[in-house]
Amino acid sequence: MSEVYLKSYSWNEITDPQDQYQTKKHLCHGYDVYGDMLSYADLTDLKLLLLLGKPPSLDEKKIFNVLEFCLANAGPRDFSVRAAMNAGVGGSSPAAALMASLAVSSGNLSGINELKSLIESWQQADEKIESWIWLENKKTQAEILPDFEHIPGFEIKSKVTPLPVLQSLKVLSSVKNTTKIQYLYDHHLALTQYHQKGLTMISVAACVYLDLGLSIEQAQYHYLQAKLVGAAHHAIEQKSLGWKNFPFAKKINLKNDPGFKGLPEIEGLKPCSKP
Amino acid sequence: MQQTLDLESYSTEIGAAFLGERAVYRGKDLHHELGDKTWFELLIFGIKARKYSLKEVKILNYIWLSTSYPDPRIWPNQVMALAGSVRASICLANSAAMALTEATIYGQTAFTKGFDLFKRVNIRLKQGKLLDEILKQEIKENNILYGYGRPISATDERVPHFMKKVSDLGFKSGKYYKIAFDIGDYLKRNKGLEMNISALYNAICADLGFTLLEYQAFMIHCFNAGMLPCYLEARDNAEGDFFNLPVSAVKYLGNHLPRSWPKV
Repeated sequence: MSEVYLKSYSWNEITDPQDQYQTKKHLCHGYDVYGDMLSYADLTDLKLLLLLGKPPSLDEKKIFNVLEFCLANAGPRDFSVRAAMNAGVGGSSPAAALMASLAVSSGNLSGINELKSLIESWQQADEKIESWIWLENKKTQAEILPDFEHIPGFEIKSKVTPLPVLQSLKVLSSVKNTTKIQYLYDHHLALTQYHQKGLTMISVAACVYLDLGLSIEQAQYHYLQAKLVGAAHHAIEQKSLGWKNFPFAKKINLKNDPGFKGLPEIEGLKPCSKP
Repeated sequence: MQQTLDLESYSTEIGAAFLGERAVYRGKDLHHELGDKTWFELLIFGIKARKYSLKEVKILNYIWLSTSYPDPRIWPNQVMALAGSVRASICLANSAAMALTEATIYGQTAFTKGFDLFKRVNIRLKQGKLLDEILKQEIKENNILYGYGRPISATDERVPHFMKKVSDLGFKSGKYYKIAFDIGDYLKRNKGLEMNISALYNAICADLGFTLLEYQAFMIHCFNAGMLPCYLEARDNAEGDFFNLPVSAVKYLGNHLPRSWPKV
């Protein structure tokens, strides 16, 4: 019998009497993961059981699945995906690619700090559009991340909401018991007109997380991992395309160039001539 | 109207690599003009483009040195040891452990909040407010004053060592260094809290003119020298040997008895 080292409220592993390092059963909130759930539940059930602590309803499963679908691949222009591609193109490891993507998904623009701000805004607002609109709260004290330079949940430049965002919102709004999603769907035009900026996918994500009842931290963790699907895909693809097919700006305008000062003369060291 | 994008060129003052010829670092030829610097000096020149005296370099160096503890139980160091134990790469382990140091109860967030506290206190002192009033308000608004108090051990053994170094190198007359001690005296008297080392790091870097972002950039590496040996030792030990846990080492605190998954 060993001393207790870790504790968990959700996960209970039962020791195999043959070997104290082997389990014979894993219980998640009391449900037998391999002996029961695996035959009757799916991955979404397990994810939502871990997040919610209870089996999800069909509506919860539906909006969660749709959100994961919508976040899965932001495409190769997305900053966090490009971070992963920089790993892939140089032959860095899969872990490096995903770590790079996670870092770039952690900030104020399309990142989990933006998601946090949006969820906080929703939590403070009532059902009037005027009160929902994100109020710019300049921080009075420094934090790791700087103040927002755009309105969370909205495009930084474009005045229109991208069609894929509207299509995602429409599909989600067909699910019952989704008050925040319904509100966003019903008011998206008014919101874009008010701010003169289009809505972004992170606005949709924030509403789904609120309708699921997730905490800000749970939402942030989920958002990060959901986006990794595309990051992984494009890192692998860029690796196979090779570095010659990865952009590297041809010119650099160095504003304070001291100029070429020559190379040391080393006896016997001569540059090889190109064949 | 569509904005024209120039994807073929990039403007910068930070530097450039002219492959096969040279590299420029903040307007200087890296090999010709900076080649005799230590890597540490180059790093601080990269963060803040000014010359540092030998004494300034020494105190900044001691900030890194004095908090590099190679104890594999320390959280980022555990990541190193775990990675070494499962034979993951040292580079990825190091990157992950460095990411952890952006923590709240120690590391980057604590440095950030503590550094900002000194800046706020200084502004209010300049406005003529009394330190006691300022700190009462700070405690009321924030509860925690970063730089004071320490989990696990109330006393921070790094403080006297650092104070000696500061004194030897002639930095103890700095404005923020004085503020750090004035706040320390108040909290000792009123809350029974001791100053921890981050208050002194914050003060010295504020006195050396670092902005918050420059300070954050500088402090990234402050735990790094303690991390790498933890990985190396775990690699020398048997695979999977770093606190490998039997099943019974995890205690279930939940109140759910085994139950059946609902069948639809």
